[in-house]
Amino acid sequence: MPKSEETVEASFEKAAGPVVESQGERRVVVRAVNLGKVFTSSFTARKKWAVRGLNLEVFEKEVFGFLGPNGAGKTTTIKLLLGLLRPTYGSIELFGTGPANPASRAQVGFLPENPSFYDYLRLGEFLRLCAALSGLRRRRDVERRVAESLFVSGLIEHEDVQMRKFSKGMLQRAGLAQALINNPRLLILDEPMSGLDPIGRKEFRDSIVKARDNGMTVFFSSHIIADVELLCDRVAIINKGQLEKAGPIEELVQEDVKSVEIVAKDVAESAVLQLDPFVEEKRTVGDAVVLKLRDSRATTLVLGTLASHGAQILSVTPHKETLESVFVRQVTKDSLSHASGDPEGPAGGRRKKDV
Amino acid sequence: MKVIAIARNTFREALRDKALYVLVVFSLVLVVSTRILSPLALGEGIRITKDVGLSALSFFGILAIIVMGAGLVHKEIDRKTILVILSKPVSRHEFILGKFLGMTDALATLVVLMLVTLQAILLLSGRGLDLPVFKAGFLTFIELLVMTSIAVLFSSFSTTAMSATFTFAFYVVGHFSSDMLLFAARLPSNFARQVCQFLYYVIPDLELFNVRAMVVHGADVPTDRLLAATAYGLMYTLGVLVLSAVVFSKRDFK
Amino acid sequence: MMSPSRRQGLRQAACLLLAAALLTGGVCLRRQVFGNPVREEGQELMYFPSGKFLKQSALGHTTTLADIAWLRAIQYYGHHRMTDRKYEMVGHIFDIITTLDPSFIHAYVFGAVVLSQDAGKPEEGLTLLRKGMRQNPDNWLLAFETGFIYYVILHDCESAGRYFALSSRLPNAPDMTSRFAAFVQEKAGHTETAFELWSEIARATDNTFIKQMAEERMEKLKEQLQKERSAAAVPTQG
Repeated sequence: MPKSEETVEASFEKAAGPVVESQGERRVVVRAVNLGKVFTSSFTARKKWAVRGLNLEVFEKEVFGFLGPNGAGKTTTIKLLLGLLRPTYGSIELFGTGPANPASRAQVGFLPENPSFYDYLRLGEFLRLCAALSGLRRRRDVERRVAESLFVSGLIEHEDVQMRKFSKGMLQRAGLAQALINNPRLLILDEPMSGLDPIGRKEFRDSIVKARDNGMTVFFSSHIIADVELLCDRVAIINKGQLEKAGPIEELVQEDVKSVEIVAKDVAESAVLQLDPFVEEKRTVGDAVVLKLRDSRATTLVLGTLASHGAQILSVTPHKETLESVFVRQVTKDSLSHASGDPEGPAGGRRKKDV
Repeated sequence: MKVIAIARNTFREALRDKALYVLVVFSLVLVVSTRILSPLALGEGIRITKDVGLSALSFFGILAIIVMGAGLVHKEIDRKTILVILSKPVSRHEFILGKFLGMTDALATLVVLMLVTLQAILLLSGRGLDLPVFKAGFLTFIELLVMTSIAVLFSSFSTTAMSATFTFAFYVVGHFSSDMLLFAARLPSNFARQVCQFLYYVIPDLELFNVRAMVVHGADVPTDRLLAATAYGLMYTLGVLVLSAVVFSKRDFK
Repeated sequence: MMSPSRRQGLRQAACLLLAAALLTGGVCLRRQVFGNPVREEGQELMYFPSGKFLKQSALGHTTTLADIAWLRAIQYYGHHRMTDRKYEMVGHIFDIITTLDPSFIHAYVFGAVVLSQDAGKPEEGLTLLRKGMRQNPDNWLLAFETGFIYYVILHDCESAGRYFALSSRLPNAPDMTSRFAAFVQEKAGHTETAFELWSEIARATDNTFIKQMAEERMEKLKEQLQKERSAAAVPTQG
């Protein structure tokens, strides 16, 4: 096993873009190597690269978040994994089989973004259809799975209701039910929480956690950082068709510089001058001064200098980078003038982790 | 089997499609109402009923194909339901075959209803069982199979409107197929001649399935005609379906 | 001051009245300019496209179109029978029917009878029957009808005899065809033969018009037969 990982590493070196590290002996459920997809507009013959040089590995039993702004290539990547799109170059394997072979999806459940189902079907009929298509042959097995998924998704009373009458929340639940109908080992969700109300979102997050607890691998794409932060073990950030960063959340967030914020009173001008090389930003709030240090390692020195100049230290707060800021920085790196960033913004649940 | 699951689903879609329902009911009512015209026909009432019944079968069959068959695949792509289906372990050709079988199941129902109604009318008028009418109905069903396969082919790569237009165009030219060779002989331009010859070979000769003239005059359909036309129809249908499967397997679903 | 809902109700009523007025006006205009379709029967049939064109555009439904034309033809005939007894378009319409469906025997027969008997155009009737015989060379009825017209209307015994004899040799021909061939050959009294022919027609047909026609002729011929018999009887008394 390690040997094959080496060869993979070697081929990764040749490929463009960062590589997701392998973790010990865990099996790889999804593997994409140097994946690329171009769309050619039929009228103007203009080419648009939706995904370029993407390398991806998803290990079993983890929750993997695929983060990126709108139009980054998340849905394209997912469709490539599922065989709904054919790659322009590169290779894909789900459970060791390429997507051209339908068997690669035997253990996969998929919930598309903003799902729509057959209007004219009742929920029960639809779930039976999905069960049959997943390969369940015996009537008994089909009925059992349908009953189970109706129970789990809380839609038992709606078994005979036509799906055209479903609300958005019910459709999402029905979508999850059909994704889980064959008890998949891999669950792929495209923007699963978009358009849901807070209660719906919480329910969905609980479902994902439950799935992971049941031994499923969950791969979901989102542009909502808070959800990804709460749920995922590992994250990949994709922007403009390319993988920018990938890895466990703690590592990604730790890579970035911790900054420290010192609030002090009675700070002499001389002290400020002396500290200038260490201070990134200086603000005055009332009669106090807020100093943001460039480097957290200078904290002790700065505190010492302030104290020796007679200042009164009010608070010392280290700021750990959040996933949001990592994301925003990554995404705006290339486009200096405009940030395509997170529509959720600070209101979406920014958390400050205290050291 | 997965193909059957998709077929059953497609059949259900047809059953719950109000437009199709109206077509079926209308065609049956039309046939029954020819009995009202019977006194005006000077003894040709039964002929007219048979004629209208068999013509309605072909005509409303084509309408059904244009109404539903033309959008068979494209509607799923448009509504994104295809993402759910193809994300399951279903192959592209299983999908195409399933859609085709579901549609032809619906058409078979129309054919059977119409033939049973016709036979009932004939029995009630004291004319006894009419086997030639069943044979004519059967060949019309084969014609509808051919046209459905064409609709599925176009539906697998173009929009519903385009598919409907092309299917209708094939239906029209299909009835002139044998005349194509005549045109080819008479037209001055070489290019036009080649176009005509090309059309003759590519577009199915739908007149082969038309034995109405024989049947309406009480003559029987010769068995060799029946077998040859059926074989032609099935081969053409299979060929087009294979082509559809190939085209569809290369499709990207943006 | 009207309440807003009442005003809206009045406005809706006014719109409905306007719509009704416009639609009625349209219908009246149509009647004025394009006439009453029932009255203009003859003109309408003239614009009936030719058989060849219809056959091409029928997309395989030629026999059904023939049926529609058949129904129109019967309407036309019935209408003119009640009114002016002028059947100008009959030849045209039956030509169309038989072009659309060359095996429509009844159309050849009825068309020929109407053309010969009612429209006074026996030659056109014969042309129609000849067209039928070309398309259906095995059909005894067409040959028989031809003989019939030659005998009863054109008084051409020789041609009649030829056609009756021909019809008797065709498949499924009933015995009476050879009987009539014999009658005509023996030149046994026109009136009696004619009477026999008409009674045969009346017996065999499903066509009510033809039956009526036959019975009328039979009445007239019966009277004539009486006269001839009494005339023949007179000399013995003398």
